[in-house]
Amino acid sequence: MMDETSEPATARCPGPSVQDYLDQDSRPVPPALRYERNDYLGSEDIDTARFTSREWAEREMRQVWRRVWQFACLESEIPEVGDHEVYEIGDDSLIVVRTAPDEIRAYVNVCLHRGRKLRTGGGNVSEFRCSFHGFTWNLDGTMQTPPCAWDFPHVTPEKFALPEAQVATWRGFVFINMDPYAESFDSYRGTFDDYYIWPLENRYKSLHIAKVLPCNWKVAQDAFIESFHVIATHPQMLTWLADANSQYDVMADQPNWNRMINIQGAPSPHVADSVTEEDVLETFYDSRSFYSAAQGRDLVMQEGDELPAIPPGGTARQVLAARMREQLAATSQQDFSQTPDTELLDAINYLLFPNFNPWGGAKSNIIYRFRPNGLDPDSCTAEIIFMSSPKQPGETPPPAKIRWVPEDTLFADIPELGVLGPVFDQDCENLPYVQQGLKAMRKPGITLANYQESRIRHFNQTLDQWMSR
Amino acid sequence: MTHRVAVRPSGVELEVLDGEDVFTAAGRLGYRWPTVCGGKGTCRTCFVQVEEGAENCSPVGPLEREGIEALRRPVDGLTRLACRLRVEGPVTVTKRGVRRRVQE
Repeated sequence: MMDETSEPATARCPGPSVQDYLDQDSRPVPPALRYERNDYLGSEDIDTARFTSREWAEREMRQVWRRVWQFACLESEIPEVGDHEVYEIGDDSLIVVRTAPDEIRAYVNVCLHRGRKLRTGGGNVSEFRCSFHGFTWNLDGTMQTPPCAWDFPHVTPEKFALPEAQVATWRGFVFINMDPYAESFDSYRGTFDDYYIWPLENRYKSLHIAKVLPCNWKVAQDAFIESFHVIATHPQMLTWLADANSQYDVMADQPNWNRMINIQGAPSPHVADSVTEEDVLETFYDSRSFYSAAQGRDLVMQEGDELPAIPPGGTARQVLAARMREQLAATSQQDFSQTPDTELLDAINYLLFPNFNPWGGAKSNIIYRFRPNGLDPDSCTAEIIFMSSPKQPGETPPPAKIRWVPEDTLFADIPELGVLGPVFDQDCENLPYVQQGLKAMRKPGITLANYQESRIRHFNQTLDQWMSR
Repeated sequence: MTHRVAVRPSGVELEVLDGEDVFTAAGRLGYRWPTVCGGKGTCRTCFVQVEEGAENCSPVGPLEREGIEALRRPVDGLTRLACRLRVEGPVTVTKRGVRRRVQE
């Protein structure tokens, strides 16, 4: 329902918009990034129970996670027949296994005899043998003759095939859906493919970091799909990151994806009147100077190099884009001469419901994944994946293994994360205090900005639709 | 090229081919070796204790490691799954129940 007292949600931050910046791009910008649409979805508060209630978390498992398409693993993690990963969500556990060179299936990871999990981790097997009594399933899910078959005249292999989830692949990623009646993954994505235009399938997983965070998975995810928080959480970035004038695309008729574009290499509207182009350039480099560019994301300056000069009438953004264009070409043997500035500099972040959260652009693409930690409403797992271009086109380096960061370790201590590490730590600093505060607030809901937090509203409305369906 | 694997206490001696696992060699040479899964690395029944020649044994892979850990043995190269064990020189193992297959 529309709130009659609120302004129509057409108000935008004063100053240049994302599309104004794209007008100034030194190269043609693809239509996918010239697209702009923000359907007004209301301004009501979002109830806090979804973030804090165990009952809500349990119902969310049944209503949402057991019925939606979700990112399980990468195809490159299971290249050979028999290779498998275990994907777990809530109380559910699935074996995602390559059953033929061009076939991946997902089985319920439980022995149908006494209920022991069949696999406790990934690997390569030619059959799934339960470690309890030895009931065994073939890779195609059919059961072999049980041990002591004389004692199981009531068990026939036909009745004991492993239950399956649906599997779909998309640009090198494996998605599963536990609902046999779910719509196809192609239909589920809607128009997402028209707007997520980067060939992730040509990239390899160069980094995979995971950490348990003491907050609900939606508290964590909601913190990463808006740029409004930069003003207070990341004040060191204001000189070179245009936060309040970020673009948010949410479509009422596309419930399963949304997007934001956040201009970088230009100042925040909050500080723009006191910042020169030279300030933007210098602070942009400064914020990246501590870490290596090994993962192909951060612009680096070699020891002893001077800051590049901004030509008269030019902008820091143009210079930074040119430098990034050169750096990427040097490290990946690819041609970036036609790549627009926006794909080299900006944070272009998509969310495919519920939790496939990829960045776009020419740099290494970050993928976030936030999901519940079992049924606990107060904790979640956060993952950061980097998809990088191989050093030589056509190379396929093996995917990085997942690395779990202990709770008392900072992301800043993981040098490969580059500038993202300490920034992520700043974000995560808020999260336990949000989780605790939501329970202490004495107000039944959180309040959202009409525009800058519209992705959060869009995401939560999609969630509500699943919860009440 | 073959390598001699001596099996205690039966005294059986196997000539194991390069790249062949000990379990498969025993079957090829007419011996019965304890197993449930038939050599797929999943039942852990074929395990042996290496007495001599550990330096001639292939490295332990992930599935074999999983099996040895399930047997509650140290993964120190001395407990091995015969169906995953390849050799590059003489080795002596202990495994009870290795017998010449009865001719039908």
